[in-house]
Amino acid sequence: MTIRPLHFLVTLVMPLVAAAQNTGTLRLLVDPGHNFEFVLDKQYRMQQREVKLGEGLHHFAFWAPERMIVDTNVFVIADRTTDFVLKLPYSPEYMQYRQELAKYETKRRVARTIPTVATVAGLFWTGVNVVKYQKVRQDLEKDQENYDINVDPGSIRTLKDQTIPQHNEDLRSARTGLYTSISFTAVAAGVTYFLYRRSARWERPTLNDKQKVLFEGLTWVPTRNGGFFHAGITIPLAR
Amino acid sequence: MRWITAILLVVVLHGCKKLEVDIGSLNTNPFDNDHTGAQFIRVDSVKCFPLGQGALHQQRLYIGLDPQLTAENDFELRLIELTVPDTTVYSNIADGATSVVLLNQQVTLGTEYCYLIDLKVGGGYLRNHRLNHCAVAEL
Repeated sequence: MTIRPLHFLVTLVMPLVAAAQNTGTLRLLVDPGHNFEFVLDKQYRMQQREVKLGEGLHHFAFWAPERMIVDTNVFVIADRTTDFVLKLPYSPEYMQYRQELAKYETKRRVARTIPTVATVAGLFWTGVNVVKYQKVRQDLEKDQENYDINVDPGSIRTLKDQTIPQHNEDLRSARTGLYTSISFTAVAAGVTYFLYRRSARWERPTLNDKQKVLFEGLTWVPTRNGGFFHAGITIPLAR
Repeated sequence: MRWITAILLVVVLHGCKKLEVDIGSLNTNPFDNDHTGAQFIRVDSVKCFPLGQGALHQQRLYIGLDPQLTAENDFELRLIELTVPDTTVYSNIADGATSVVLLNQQVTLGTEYCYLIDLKVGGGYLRNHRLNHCAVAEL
């Protein structure tokens, strides 16, 4: 009988006490700014830029993708809005991932660019040789026409002894150059094709974000409709 | 990749064609020393005529000229007499002439006289148009 009035009193007074507790606002200015999350007082996982908290010391564990978890305590002052500035450092895994990715992209770029440039150069070279070959062919055709219409035996002799043999030699030389450039272009094109196919199968580095796994331990995520427990599990699929 | 292959194939086929001029088979121009066809000059006839009242006679070689020769070029003829060695050059041949007469001023009747007749066009003699002709001097 004596407990019932006390219980009633506590029930009546506690909300009033809670309402009367002083709160302060904490504005979170955290780099990267758009997608950071934090766990408040080791219990509540939240993703917002401003929190209203009761006065006193509160524990925060901040995290964002690709960044390190930063644990810190913040003292919230009642009836005041305080700016909390923090730059989350990049995680070592992410830095390593960036290095591996850069190495991978450089390797792939080199494997694709050099043979491609060689192929284009080969095509250009072939084009130049085709033009050269055509010119020598035209010279020989002119020689043939000149022979047919020439009425000067001396000129005909010069044509047959010097001009035509020289142009024949030029044609052979141009043909050799043409075949060389064609062979070079064909090899370069083949290597380009092969390296494109092969580099397409190269495994792209992936980010193993251990900080995320650590951060996503079992936490309570409050929402407007109550809240839920959030648990993270990591299954290593790579052998 | 396919278009590169196609381009290269076309170029290879293009380059495979044998296009050198075969100098050995280049002999269709009649002004070429290697020409093997018809000659520009020919001996139409040879006749003897007395020189005055004596025993001296003149042998005339009537040389026919190909119209293509006279139409195209300045030319001259050289008469080389082999029996009694002598050489005469005939350079002032009228344009468009179809024949020319070459003379051996002194021949003895009954004797055979042999001649080489050369054609010179431009800077050199056409060896393939050389005529080698022998005739007995007779009335």
